[in-house]
Amino acid sequence: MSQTFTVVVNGEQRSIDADPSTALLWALRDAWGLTGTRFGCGAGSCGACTVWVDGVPTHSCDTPLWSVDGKNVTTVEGLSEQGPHPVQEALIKHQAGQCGYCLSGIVMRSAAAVDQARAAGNPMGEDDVRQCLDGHLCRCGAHNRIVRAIVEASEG
Amino acid sequence: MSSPSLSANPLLSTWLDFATPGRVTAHMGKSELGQGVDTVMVQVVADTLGVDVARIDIQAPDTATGPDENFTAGSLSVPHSGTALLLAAANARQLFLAAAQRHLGSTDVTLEDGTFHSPSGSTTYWDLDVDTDVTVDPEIPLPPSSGTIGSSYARIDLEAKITGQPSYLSDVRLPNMAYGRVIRPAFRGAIGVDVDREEFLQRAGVVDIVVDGAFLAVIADTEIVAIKTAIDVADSAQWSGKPSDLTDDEVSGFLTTVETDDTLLAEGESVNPNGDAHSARYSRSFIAHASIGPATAMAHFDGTVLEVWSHTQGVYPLRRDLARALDIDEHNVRVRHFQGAGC
Repeated sequence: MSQTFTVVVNGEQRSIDADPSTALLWALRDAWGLTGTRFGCGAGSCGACTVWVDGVPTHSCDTPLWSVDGKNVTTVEGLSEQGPHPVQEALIKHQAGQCGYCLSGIVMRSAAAVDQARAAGNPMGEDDVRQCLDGHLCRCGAHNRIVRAIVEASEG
Repeated sequence: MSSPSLSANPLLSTWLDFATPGRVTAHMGKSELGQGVDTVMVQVVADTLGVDVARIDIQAPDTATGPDENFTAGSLSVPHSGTALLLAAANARQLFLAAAQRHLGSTDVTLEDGTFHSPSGSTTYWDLDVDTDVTVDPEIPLPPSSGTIGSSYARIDLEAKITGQPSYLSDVRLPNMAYGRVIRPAFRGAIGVDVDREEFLQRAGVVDIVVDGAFLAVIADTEIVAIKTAIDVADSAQWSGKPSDLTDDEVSGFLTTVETDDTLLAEGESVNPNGDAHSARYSRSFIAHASIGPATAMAHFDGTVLEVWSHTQGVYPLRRDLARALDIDEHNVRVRHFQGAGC
């Protein structure tokens, strides 16, 4: 029943023997000790567990290992090689978070969009950010600060 | 000034600790939930003691070392803990200043970032030998503020959370830790469950399948095995009991018809006997309170002492409940707060 899966996580090759249906989230957190990716709802509904699979923001809690075998996964720990990503710098500057549990997922989702916006020289407006983060829940109510921070980060 | 937290925990040494050179540890019984209370307490203590904010360490609620402040609720952490720490720090400053004046042989003493200066020399909070097992005087005059209270400070915990560092109880790993998952009953009103324990116990990594009435749980060596096994156990579990056919709207009516055991909590006179009387009946159905992440707890039991880490909003009330539920002496239970996903 168990199979061996190999995933390149933050540039480093990682392997695990597990049931093919095992969620990527649990390989990251439990097997490889990368706890920066948080477990929220476990049903792909809250966004807290978002990582990049081959550069595309993806819910790791309902992404089975069989679907990421041989692919590149980026987590919040590997988002930026030197210091915080511009999105993280802006979130820190705006103190955009309360309990903070949703923020790893929000960072990963918005960093992909901000990278694109900056590369294109096309900053995001508030509506763009709200649409980008539509699938991300924050139970504390830090939304407005988060939106302001990401708009600023996208301006480069 | 007064604070119920201080009345219940009047000793200065319960709140402030100068044992580590160059550091001040502030103990509190209110939990950081993301509301920023730890950062506020850093500001209160630093300003009142006359030390830099970077020297203050906040000790999370802990029944072994910290004050009993009941629950973190009702937006009372700043009025209760903040006032207690403000008064404790003002008392400490007065005691240490007097000791510094004696030590330096001068009343011409100024304080700068924890160091007391006089024309003849200097000393610090950490060099002076002062007994802090004294009762905090709540009427003490407050020292002049440096402005740290009333200024906006970045949260001491937020950068770690934004950069994905281990921040929550679910990120903590102890050596040889086992992982649990609870399987909820399939319906309201379940009283028992039938499950093939032997089948699941043969599975690699499964430590135990716990069945106690309608309580069902899996213990495993890894979280992955605990999750997978819990899904499979849930699929095969046969729950017994009669599903409740009460709808949410019928609950309040049901509560007034069942046999009751009445306890009078309070009785008093109307504060305004000449005012208009208002009589009404209010009810609400079951409400769900959901955090962004699941509840987590960690425990270690050596056969006598139970240590529990929890994102509880009241370490002392939880200690009482755990002692009662597990039938062990309260003093053999230690509960420590560790942050979780909001509240």
